[in-house]
Amino acid sequence: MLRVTGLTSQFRGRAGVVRAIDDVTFEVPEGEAVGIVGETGSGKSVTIRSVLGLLPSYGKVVSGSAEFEGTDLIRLHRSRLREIRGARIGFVAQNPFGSLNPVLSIEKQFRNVMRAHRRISRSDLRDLALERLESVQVRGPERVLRGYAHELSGGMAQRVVIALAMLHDPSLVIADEPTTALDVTVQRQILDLIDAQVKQGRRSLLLVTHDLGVVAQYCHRVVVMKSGKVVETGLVADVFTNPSHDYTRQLLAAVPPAPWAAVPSLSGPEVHR
Amino acid sequence: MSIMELQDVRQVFRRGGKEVHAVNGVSLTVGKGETVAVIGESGSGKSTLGRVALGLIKPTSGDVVFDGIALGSLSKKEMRALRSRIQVVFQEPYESLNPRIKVGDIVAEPLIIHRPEMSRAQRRAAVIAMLERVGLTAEHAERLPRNLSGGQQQRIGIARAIITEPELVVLDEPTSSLDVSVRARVLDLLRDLQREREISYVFISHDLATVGLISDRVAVMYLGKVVEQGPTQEVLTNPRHPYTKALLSATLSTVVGQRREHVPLRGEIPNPSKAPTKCVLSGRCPVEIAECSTWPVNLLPVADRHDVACLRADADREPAALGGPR
Ligand SMILES: Nc1ncnc2c1ncn2[C@@H]1O[C@H](COP(=O)(O)OP(=O)(O)OP(=O)(O)O)[C@@H](O)[C@H]1O
Ligand SMILES: Nc1ncnc2c1ncn2[C@@H]1O[C@H](COP(=O)(O)OP(=O)(O)OP(=O)(O)O)[C@@H](O)[C@H]1O
Ligand SMILES: [Mg+2]
Ligand SMILES: [Mg+2]
Repeated sequence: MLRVTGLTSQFRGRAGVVRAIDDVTFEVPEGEAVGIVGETGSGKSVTIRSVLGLLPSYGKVVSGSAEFEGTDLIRLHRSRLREIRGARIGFVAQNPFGSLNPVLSIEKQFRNVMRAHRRISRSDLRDLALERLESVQVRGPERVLRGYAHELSGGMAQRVVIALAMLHDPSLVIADEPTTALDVTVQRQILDLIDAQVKQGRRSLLLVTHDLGVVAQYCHRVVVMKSGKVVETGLVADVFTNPSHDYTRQLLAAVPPAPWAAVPSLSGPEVHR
Repeated sequence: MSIMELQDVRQVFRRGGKEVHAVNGVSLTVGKGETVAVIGESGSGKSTLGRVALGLIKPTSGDVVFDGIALGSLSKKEMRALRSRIQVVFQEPYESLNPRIKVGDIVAEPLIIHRPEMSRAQRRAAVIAMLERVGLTAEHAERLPRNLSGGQQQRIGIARAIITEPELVVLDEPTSSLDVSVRARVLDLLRDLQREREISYVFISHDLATVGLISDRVAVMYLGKVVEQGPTQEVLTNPRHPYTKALLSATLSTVVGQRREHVPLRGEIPNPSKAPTKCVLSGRCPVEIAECSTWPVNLLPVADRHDVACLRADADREPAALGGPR
């Protein structure tokens, strides 16, 4: 589905050229979920932005390729890439407010994302937007559509961005820490939803996260990054139980304990489900 | 001794004819040198409560008392003077940093305002020292915020907030973009500062493991209300409110293949367009009884300093009441 090979990107700055990622190679097979974990500043976001052609003007992919459904995204013309991004690849950026326009209503932003790829009637769009918002547990979606980004809590803004990314039912979703702003019950519902789609083979997922629990429970493969390089990659079941790189071991050892893991019967006496 | 007291705070946002009841009567006390965590549903009013505590918004009703001073009674000028004593780390690191100013100047800004006696060289040295304490370097001081990764931006926000040595810091999701090892380091720094200077923290977070490490007490919010509060270890290991239980059961194990039993809440999260007229969890609760929908349920003590707003808080402790052997 997505095959990233030897990807190397750098930024031009006052201090000269800085290499942010170096020879990054990994694969997202069709119908699988892949997690990228690693140090802050290790190049996770730059990797994703390089693949999607979203580096700033002073940043550049200097070598490598990113093949998606047979096409190399790195060598693709900007306008063709924009068609793919949004329609066949949904992108959820690290900062939800940064991907929302503060002066446009949320509905208008759904309309814009829709228009970029497809023409449908206003009422059809509304129905589709409401459905996508409901699927990520947004309460009162009508009110949210009429409103503006600053009226949303962090977690609601995040869900709006996820709903926007899902609008065109993309076959690959690339998400940069999509659930850190959400409480764990909502996080779980959204991950379960994406997971079900992945399991049906309808979607593949590339997920950047600092939450090793998310990787352990929802990803098939994991890519561990440090200082711009991939230090370890493989099946989650192998890497987490038998890490081969020191940094991976450190990372797993730093996970704080969950004091409530042993809480008996969280469900209380009578559970109707 | 308490440094901050919120008394029956309510916050209603109005736009057009519509209302959003974001905070519905929350009382919270933060002791000197204490860390109080606020956890809960997203959209339950945690950030709003934080902004009220900071004096950034004036609550619809209720009082905010900082070190014996009611914020509502202060003039603009007095409020500005108080600002150096209360600082904040906002939930969205990038949005809260001025994109056109170099990182070093962002961190220096509070010093310019609140420590005008410092020389330029002293300020510079203080900024570099602060950056190093949060795990960054002098080199980062020369960059613009957008040239930093998410976790680096987040640490700039923390450095800026603690550089003036405030007495209270409201931290809204301060470590969500940090990897586990940098996170541990930042938490150590916060704890060191607390030990050195008796700083108090209000720590808003979705990360229950971090809350377990850093906080003394925890308040759990749902739909604008505190539904459970108490000593952190007590609440996390002996949760009594069904929402707290659902929250804890939804956390993910890092052990592959080990799925904790998850207790999903039924139905939809309600809309906060009205003040609650019944228990906030009514309609979604697994242990609901008829009385739960007659009026709002308030916090009541269940143990030493442990309060729960649930009529069934004791249900699993009374087998007789459930038809067990008498
Ligand atoms: N626009 C930019 N200009 C210059 N340097 C940048 C830019 N964006 C990122 N960098 C640098 O590139 C490196 C990789 O950053 P990246 O954002 O990919 O990290 P990350 O792994 O996503 O970290 P985090 O977990 O903190 O979000 C960092 O050292 C960062 O400072
Ligand atoms: N300026 C505003 N105008 C209108 N409604 C607002 C405004 N700010 C917040 N709200 C609403 O108030 C409620 C509480 O929001 P708040 O940001 O306090 O939640 P939160 O608990 O911090 O959530 P999260 O965990 O998602 O950050 C939400 O329903 C939100 O939409
Ligand atoms: Mg990043
Ligand atoms: Mg918030």
